[in-house]
Amino acid sequence: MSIFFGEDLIYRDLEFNSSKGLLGFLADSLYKKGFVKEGFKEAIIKREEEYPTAIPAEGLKIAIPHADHKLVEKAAIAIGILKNSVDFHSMEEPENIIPVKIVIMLALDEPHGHIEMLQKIVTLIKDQVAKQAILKASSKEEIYEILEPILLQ
Amino acid sequence: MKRILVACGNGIATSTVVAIKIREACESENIKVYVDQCKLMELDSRANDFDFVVTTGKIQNNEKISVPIVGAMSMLTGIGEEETIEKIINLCKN
Repeated sequence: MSIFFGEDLIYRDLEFNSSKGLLGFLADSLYKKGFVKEGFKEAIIKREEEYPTAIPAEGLKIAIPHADHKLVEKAAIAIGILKNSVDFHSMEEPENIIPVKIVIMLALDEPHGHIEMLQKIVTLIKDQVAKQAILKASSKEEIYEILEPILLQ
Repeated sequence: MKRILVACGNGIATSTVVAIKIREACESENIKVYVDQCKLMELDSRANDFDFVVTTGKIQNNEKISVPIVGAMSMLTGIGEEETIEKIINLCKN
């Protein structure tokens, strides 16, 4: 099954004081557009508190929040790019704080599917050039053009 | 055949990527493995049915786990990935 990724799920220049606020914003967007069910937002926030999703890779830091697939109607990815980084916790060592600049919220509708997309996201986490380009981009369209070949082809 | 359990927070995202990398690495060494995935919170009840466990997240209660545990964040960050794969291959061979 395919994952939806498009300009209307890309948000740039975001300003949030907390990861919770940012996660709520992205989850609300997915809910309003019909990708996820009620309860998804709460599950995302709860999951992040128990099992954080920031990845301690090199360069700009990315978090990949996601929740139970049963709360998803239709698989999709929402991307939030932050003006100033927001503190998340490390997936590997939850006590460690990681200042995140890019959040990729995953609404996955199957438990062991979306293999190619997940692999591409893992590659993106390490792609310093792509991450820098995303941050420098001045519009959603530009970001979509950077990510489309990486995530969808 | 070695049985490997891969765990992450929800058992659906990073464990999927890691499970694939493990299967591919073992295949290239001609090692037959059975790889399953689970959530971190299920780990203590399932781990001992496997030969070893691989995880991307932090295990909270590992007192009950009597099999080796391999941390695999390296497979997401790329930092130290080869060493982790080598560790896994060695666990499969022994």
